[in-house]
Amino acid sequence: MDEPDWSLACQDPRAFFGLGPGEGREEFRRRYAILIRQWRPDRNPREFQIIRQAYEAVERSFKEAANQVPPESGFAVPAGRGPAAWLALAQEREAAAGASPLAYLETLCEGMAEHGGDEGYVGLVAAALEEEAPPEAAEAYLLLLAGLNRHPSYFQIFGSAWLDCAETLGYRLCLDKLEPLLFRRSGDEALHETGVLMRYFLAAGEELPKDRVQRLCAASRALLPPGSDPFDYLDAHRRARRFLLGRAEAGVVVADFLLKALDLDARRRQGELIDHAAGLIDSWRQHLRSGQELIHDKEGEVLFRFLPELFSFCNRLRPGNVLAIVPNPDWLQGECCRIFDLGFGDHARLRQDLLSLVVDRGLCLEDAIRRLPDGGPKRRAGLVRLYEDSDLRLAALSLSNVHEVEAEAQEPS
Amino acid sequence: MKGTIIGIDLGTTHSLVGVFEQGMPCLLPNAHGELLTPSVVGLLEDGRIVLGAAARELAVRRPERCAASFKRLMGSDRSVSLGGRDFSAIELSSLVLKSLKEDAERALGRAVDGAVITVPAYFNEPQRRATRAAGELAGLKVLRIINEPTAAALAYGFHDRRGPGKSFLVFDLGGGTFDVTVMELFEGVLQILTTAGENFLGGEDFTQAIAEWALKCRGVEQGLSRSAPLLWARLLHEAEQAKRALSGCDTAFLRWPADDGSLGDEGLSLSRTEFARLAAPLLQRLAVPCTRALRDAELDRAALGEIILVGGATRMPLVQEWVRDYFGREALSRFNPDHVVALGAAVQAALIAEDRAVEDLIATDVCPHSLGIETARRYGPLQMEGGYYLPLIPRNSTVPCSREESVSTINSGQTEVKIKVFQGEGRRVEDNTLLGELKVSGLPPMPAGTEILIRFTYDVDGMLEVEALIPSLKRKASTVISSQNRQADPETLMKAKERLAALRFFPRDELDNLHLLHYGNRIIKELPLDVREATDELLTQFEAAMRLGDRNFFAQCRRQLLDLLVSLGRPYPGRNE
Repeated sequence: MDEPDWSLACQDPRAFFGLGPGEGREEFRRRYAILIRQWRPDRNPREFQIIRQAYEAVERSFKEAANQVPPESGFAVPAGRGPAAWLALAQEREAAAGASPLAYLETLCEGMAEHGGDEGYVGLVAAALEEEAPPEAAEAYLLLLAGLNRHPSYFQIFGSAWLDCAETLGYRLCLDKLEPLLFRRSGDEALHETGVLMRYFLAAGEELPKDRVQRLCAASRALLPPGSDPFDYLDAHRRARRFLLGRAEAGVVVADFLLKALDLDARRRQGELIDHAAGLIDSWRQHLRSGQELIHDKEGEVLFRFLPELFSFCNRLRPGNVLAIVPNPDWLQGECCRIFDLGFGDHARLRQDLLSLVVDRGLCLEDAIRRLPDGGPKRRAGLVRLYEDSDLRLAALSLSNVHEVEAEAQEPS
Repeated sequence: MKGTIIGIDLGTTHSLVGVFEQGMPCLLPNAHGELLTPSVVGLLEDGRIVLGAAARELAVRRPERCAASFKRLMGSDRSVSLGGRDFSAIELSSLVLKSLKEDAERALGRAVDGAVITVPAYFNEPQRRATRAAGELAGLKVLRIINEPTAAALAYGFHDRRGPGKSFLVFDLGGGTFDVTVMELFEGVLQILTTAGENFLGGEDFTQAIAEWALKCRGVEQGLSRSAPLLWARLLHEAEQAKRALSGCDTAFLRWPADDGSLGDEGLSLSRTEFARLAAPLLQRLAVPCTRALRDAELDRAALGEIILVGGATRMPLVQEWVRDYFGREALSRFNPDHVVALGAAVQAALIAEDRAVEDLIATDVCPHSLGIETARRYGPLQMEGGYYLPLIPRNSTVPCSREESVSTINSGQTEVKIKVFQGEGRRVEDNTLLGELKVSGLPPMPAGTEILIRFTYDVDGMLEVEALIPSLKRKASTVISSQNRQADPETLMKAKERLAALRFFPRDELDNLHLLHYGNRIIKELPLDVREATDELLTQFEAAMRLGDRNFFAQCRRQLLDLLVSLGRPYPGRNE
C-alpha cells in the first residue's frame, strides 16, 4: 500500500482516510484497520500516533453527529438527550433572559439532575464559573448542587465542583452551606463527604472557631458507617493528615479511621496500611517532639489502643515489617520511655514487642535511661516496670545497668 | 525476532506458561504434568528451594517456610521472610518465572529466548517495573509486559478475528486483583477502549472472609494467625476447599483445625446463603470499576456486546450471579477462565515473533492511569500553594501516545526547574504515585512566568519519557523515568542475581515425589485415627526410599503409597502412574 499523505492527518482527517462525504463509520474503520496494520503501534510508534490522532478526530465527528439534536422550540426540556442538547438549551435560555449567566447555569444543573450527574456537566458549569464567576451565579450553582445531593455518587462527582465554587466564594461560606447537608446524611457516601469536609477544614484554616471544629470532628466521626470500605477510611485519613498537625481533635478522628480500617481488614493492601500507620506515628511523634503534651486525653488513649493492634497486625506479616512502621530508630530510643510512661494498662505483649524491637535494633535501654530528663521518677518507674515484665532483660540491658535498675526496682516507690 | 518466545501469566495464586505453536496458542505442563503452577515458594530445612504444588502443600504445615500471594507486594519495598531469610517479591516472582521457563524448555525440548509476561491492567508503573525486573532476574528477555484482560481478549480475538465487529467487556477477577476492560473488535483490530480495576480484590479475599467467619463462629479473636500460625494456615486451606465446594453444592463443611493444624471431625457448615452474606461487601466493590470503565468508554450497559469472564474467581456462582444482575445478561466463558490469559500471552508472543498465523490481527492498548506533573496554583498576589496535579496523558489514552503541555515558572530569578512526575487520578499529587523527576539546572536567572514546554511520551512497553524545553533559552532536557523502587534498581538486582544464583533448587525430577510426600504429610492429619498408622508407615518408607536411591525399591514404595491413598479415597492429585 502507498504511504498516506501525512500532512492531511491534521488538516483534514476525513480526507486522510480517503473518506468520501457519504461513507460511514464502517468504511472508516476498515481503512483505519488497513493503515495501522501497516504502521503498527509497537513498530512505528510515530506514524501510529499520527493515524490515531486523525482517527480520534473522525470518531468524534461521528459521535457528535449521532448526538446532534434538531433545535426545539419553546424551550422544551430535551429529556433523555446528551449534554450537547442541554448546552444548546442553556445558551438559548441565557440569551432569552438577557444574557443572564444564572439562567444558563440553572439549565445545566437541570440537565445534570436529569442525567444523574454526568461529569460532562460539571465541566461545563465549572468552565462557566471560571469565565464569569459572578458571586451570585456561583452561589446559585452551589444551591443547585445542594439540591442534587441525593445522587448516589454526589460527592465523588461534585467534590471538585464544590472546591471550584469555594475558590470563588470563600471556603467559609461553602462550609456554612455544606455543613447542614452533611449532618443530615448517612450511608456509604458519608465517608466521601468526610473527606471533602476535611479539605474544607484545611482550606478554611484559622477562620473557624475551635468549638466549631470540635463539633465538625465529632459529627464526622458519627458519620462513619459501620460497613464501609476500609480504604475509604484510609482515604479520609490521608486527607486529614496535614490537618492533624494543627489540631489534635482531628487526630482522634484520624486514629479512628485507621483503627476501623485495621479492624475491618488487616490483610488487604497491607502496604498502604503500614504507610498510613507510619504516617500517623510520625504525626504523633512530632507532637511529642515539639514538647506539647498530647493535647487531648482522647488522643493518648487512641494511641495506646492503636499501637498494640498495629504491632500485632505487623507481626502477622513479618517481624521485619514492624521496623518498617517505626519511622526512625532515634524515635524508638528517645520516645519509648515517654510512651511507656503514659501507661499501658494491660498491654504486656506490646511492651514485650517494643522491647524486643529495641533489642533487635541494637539500641541500648541504658542510653534511654540516661537520657531521661530530670525529675522523671515516674518515667523511670515505667521503665523499671517494663524491665520487670520482660524476658529479655538480660539481652536488653548491660550488666551495670541491670544492677542499677534492679536496685531501683527494690526501692520502695 | 527469531527463536522461541513464551507467554506467561504470572498470577497471585497460580501461574501458567504458553507458547504459540503450529498456528495455535497452547499451554505447557509443569513437572507434575499440570498446567497450573501454584505461585508459592518454599524453603526446605536443608536450604533448598521448592516451588509450585509441593510448596503449596508445605505451606499448610510449615507456613513460616513458605511465601504465597507475593504478587500483592510487587512494586513495594517490603520483603517476605522464608525460614528466616528475607526475599523481595521480585526475587520470589523470579523464582516462579524461572521454574516456568524450565518447564517450557523441558516441554518444548529447546531453549526459550524471550517472554511476554502479563500483569493486571490496573498495575501502576512501579508494579510493572518490578514484574519486568523479576523476568530479567529469572534469565528471561522480557519482550513485552501486557495487561491480563488484553491478553484474555487476544485469546478470544484470535479466534474471532474474522468475525463481525462487536464490543465486549472482560471481567477479570483473579486470585488477588480485579480488572474490567472494555474493548472493540473490528476488521481484525482489537481495540482496548478503557480499563479500570482494583489491585487488591480477588478470590483470596473471599477465602479470607470464610476463614474469618469461621473464627467468629468459634468465638476466637482475630489475630490468631500470629498466635497459632499452623491453625490459621490450615483454616485458610479448609476455607479455600469450602469456597470451591460451594460452587457445586449448597453447603460445605469446614473442619476446625487444632492448634497444631491437625483436623478432627468437628467443624462448621457453611451454606451458600451464608456465604452470599459474607461475600456481599466484596461483591459490592465490583461495581465501581465496572461503572467507571463503561462511563469512560461512553457505553451503556445495554450497548455492550459480550461479557467475558476471566480468572479463577469468576467460577463462583455468586460472582456469576452478580455479573448477570449487573449487566442484565449471561456472561461468556468459552475458554477456561484460568487458562485464557496465558493463551492470550502466547498470542502476543506470536505477534512479536511476526508469526504468519496472526498477521491479520492487531491490538491497541490504553494506559490505565493518568500521567502528569506537580504544579502550584496562585491565589491572589502573594499566596501560592503547590501540590496540584496536572495530568498530561489522561487515563485510557491509546498507547503509544505523546502529549505536550505548556507551564511557566513561579519565582522570578529561578535558575533551576524541577519537574515531578506522578501517576494517578487525584486532584492533588499526594493522592497519586510519584514516578520520578526531571531537573533542569544551571539556567541563567529567568523572570517569573517563563514558559516551559513539557512533553510526555509513553510507549507500548509502558516506558515514559519526559522532555522539558525552555523555548526562550533553547534549553532542552529529557529523561526516561526510572524506578523509584529500591528493589528494582539495577544495583539491587545485580546483588539479588548473585544471591539467587547461590540458591540450590530441589531437583525438578524429584519435585513430584516431594509433592507426594508433602501431600501425604498434610492429609495424614485429616485421616481417621485407625488408618493413620498404616499411612505413616508407608510415608516413612517412601521418604527413606527417596534418600536411598535404589530404584526398584523406590518404585515399589511409591506404588504402595499411591494405592493406599486411592483406597482411602484421597488419591494423589499429581502423577498417579
